Amino acid sequence: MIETDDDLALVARARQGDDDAFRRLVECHQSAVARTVFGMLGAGDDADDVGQETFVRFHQSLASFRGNSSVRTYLVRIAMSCALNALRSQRRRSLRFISHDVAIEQAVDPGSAVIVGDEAPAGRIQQALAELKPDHRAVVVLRLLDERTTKETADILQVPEGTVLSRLSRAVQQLRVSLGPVWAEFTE
Amino acid sequence: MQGERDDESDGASEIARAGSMLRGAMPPIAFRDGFGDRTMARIAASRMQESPDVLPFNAMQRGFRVLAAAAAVMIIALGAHNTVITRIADTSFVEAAIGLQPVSAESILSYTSEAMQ
Repeated sequence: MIETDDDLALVARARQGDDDAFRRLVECHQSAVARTVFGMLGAGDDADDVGQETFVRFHQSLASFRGNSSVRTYLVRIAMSCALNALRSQRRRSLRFISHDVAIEQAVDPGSAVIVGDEAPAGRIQQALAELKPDHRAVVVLRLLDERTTKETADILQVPEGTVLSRLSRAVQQLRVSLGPVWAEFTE
Repeated sequence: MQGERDDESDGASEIARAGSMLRGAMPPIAFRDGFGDRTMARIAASRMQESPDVLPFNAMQRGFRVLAAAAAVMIIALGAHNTVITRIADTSFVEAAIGLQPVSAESILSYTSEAMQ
């Protein structure tokens, strides 16, 4: 991980149109962006696309980046915003094209619409994470997967710290219920 | 008081354990190979869209879209207008469209308000 001073120097060079400097920023921070994006969207083409969009937006906002937060935190904030937008689009698409098919499947076999998920614990945990509401998932990704503090999480999501704590508590409660024995095995 | 503190620490330790469980369950996280190249190519493409050569073309495209929308609104409005005249003057749609059956504005308004009721 490079120091913030180096980041600021790279940002200054990138502002002058130095693509090599910007590429270096991409290389240094892509893993932090990937953790956020994969945590929110899971693996797949959407995650890669949202990762690229994060850096494109960062590039477009280089002039307005003042360095009040670290480059990494700034990028994670953009990544989270892009991921939440992608989830909204996915939801709109699924409502438009899939809801009709699901309704038909449920009419034929009500049990067929229940998501069973991967039987392996890791798969079930990822599935349970994917089932959280986007706002709750965002808190889990930042606070638990990325190990950020409550304050950092609140800053990135631009919500009060109390909101982070209440969303985290509800998310953990839902994970406990949906994972059942897997939760007990790993956390007790 | 002691009980409340124990509850809080239980909650915090449960959250900490949940965190380590989630981190353990996540597969190795990385973008596909060539992520940097793809990102830089996309940035180059977005820069092209903002270049002075492309901006007039984008403005022209937007202008055509506005014109097309305005034309669609006019066609719909004329269609509705001619339909009303057809009903009032008991004439064909084509005659109404080419103005062979002029109808006063008052009768159009009264017919429309009747239809609304």
